Amino acid sequence: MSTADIPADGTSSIPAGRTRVTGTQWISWIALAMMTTSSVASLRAAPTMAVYGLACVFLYLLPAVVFLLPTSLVSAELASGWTGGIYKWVSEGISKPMGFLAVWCQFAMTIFYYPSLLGFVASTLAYVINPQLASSGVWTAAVIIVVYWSGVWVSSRGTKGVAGLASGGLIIGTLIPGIVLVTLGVVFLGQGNESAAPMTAENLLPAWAGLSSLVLIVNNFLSYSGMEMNAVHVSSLKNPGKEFPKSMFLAMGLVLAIFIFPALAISWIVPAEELSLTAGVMQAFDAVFANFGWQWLTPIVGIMLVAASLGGMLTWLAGPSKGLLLISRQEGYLPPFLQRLNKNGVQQNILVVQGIVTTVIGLAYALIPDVSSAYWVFSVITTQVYLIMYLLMFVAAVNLRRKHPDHPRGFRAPMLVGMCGVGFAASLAALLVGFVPPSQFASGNPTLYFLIVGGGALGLGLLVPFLFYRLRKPSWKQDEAPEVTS
Amino acid sequence: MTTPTENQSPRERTWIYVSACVILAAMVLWAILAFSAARETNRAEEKADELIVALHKAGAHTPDKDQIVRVLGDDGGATCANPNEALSRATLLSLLSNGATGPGARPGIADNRAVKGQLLIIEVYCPEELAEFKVFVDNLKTENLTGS
Repeated sequence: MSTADIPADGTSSIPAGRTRVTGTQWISWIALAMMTTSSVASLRAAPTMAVYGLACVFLYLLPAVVFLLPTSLVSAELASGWTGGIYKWVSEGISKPMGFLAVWCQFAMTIFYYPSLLGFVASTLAYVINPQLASSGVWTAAVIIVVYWSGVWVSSRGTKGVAGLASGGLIIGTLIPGIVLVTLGVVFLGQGNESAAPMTAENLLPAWAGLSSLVLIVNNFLSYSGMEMNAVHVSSLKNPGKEFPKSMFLAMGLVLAIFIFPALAISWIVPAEELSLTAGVMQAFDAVFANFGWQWLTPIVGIMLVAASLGGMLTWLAGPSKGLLLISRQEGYLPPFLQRLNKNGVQQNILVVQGIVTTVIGLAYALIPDVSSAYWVFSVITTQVYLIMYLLMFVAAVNLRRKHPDHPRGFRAPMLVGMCGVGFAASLAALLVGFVPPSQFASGNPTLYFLIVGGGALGLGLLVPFLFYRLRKPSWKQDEAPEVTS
Repeated sequence: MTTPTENQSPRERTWIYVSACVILAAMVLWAILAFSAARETNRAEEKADELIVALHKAGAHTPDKDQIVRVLGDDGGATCANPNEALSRATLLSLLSNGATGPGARPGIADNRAVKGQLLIIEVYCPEELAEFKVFVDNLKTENLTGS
């Protein structure tokens, strides 16, 4: 086995607990927990959920039970037994083509994520620099290009650097502002002020408005999507079998705290009617600080929020593309050019091609009005595609427990079959709810909406990977040491 | 099966961290210098009173007047900065969504209070934008999901 054969990314069937990498490559389980938290949670949705007041607790806790818990525990078991992430789990549990489909769904989902995330970064920066910039296509395009390609460059240097920046971004841009927000909220109530949102038992549940409420609740299952993504880095841990589950439990706690408490704090201080969604989370922070005469903190927190978004972006750049690389090299699904690694052992060419596609989409988002206004359609399509991956993951987990009950696992999820059943049902419900027209499509034809979302999901989630599968060549398989590019 | 081993040097990583910190510090400095909180003028106070009356009429919780003055000033602040432009609308539409902040974010059916406040702010602070914005809002399907 050459140096390059060491399963740093783990596609070997060596039990995770015995995987070895060189000391300089290890990341701590806390850093991995930070990466996971950073890729899933931020303060961005706090004003949106603050509108629901106390009911936001229910809107986050129920999905935590039926989706976060199954996703986290099942992926902890799988990652502690089979290194390589979603591809390895599904290809061993179901079949190799399904493994490719799963990793493709995880990868494809990110393509439309970056422009909207970076659009948020542009509007947050605009709030503190000059609010007029938020509606400037040139400004938004410049932010998207500069920030995205900087992220590609950092990701191409190695996972450990990404882990450090993601951890830093989470602490600086999410945990510290979140703690400040919650502290100010408690002080606000402690001063005898009345909460802007009623905090009585009757407000614990959202009002029932039929299908709309069902859509609201089930859509929130997706708040926790991404918890499994960093499993691809599991073999960068010293003792994956023990450390990955610990990492997942810490991430679960952090994600819940980040989602629930800041949203509650905003709902105490800022009336829902004063929240302007065009101004986003920054106006909520500004209003909280204004209440205490501390508005000098607003620009500082604005930059901190940007840091958190960039940390989250880095984890998404580093994760799914690495999973795609592993399957591509093993099965020859992508041309050798895309399988090349740079001198740091990172899938640089995949990142660059992904970057070009993202840049084109990002420029369209920033410069073509109709695209940016209709961008939410793409977010529906990509989340539908992502949910296919979860369905496959839960089926694979049950199969792996049945087919390989004695396979060494560092962690065994309790009641795995039941857990997978709940997770599968939750994912399926979220998939079905995705076909209900949202607020943005109120005046449209529901059948047309179904066709757009269904057609888009089938095309992106099934047709494209099918074409890759059909066009693969045996000569594209990489059994030798990877070619290194400068 | 050959798998990649990453071998970034600690020195390079240190440089990346240091550069990130320097860029972050520069951006904080830039933001502090560029950020201008809303000015507390007589007109800002009058507008805040108007908004409080409008909120009261709408049956909404009325916030602290000073808070409104400091955030919205006399021109509505960021809320009134081109609310009918495509990117401003894209921001609003993207926030009429679930509670996800990662790639799980997708639109849903929003509570009707999500846009009510913004409509009132525009009505008071930048009425010239109201007609166009109202047409846009009227095309959104919202429900009373909070029961208030």
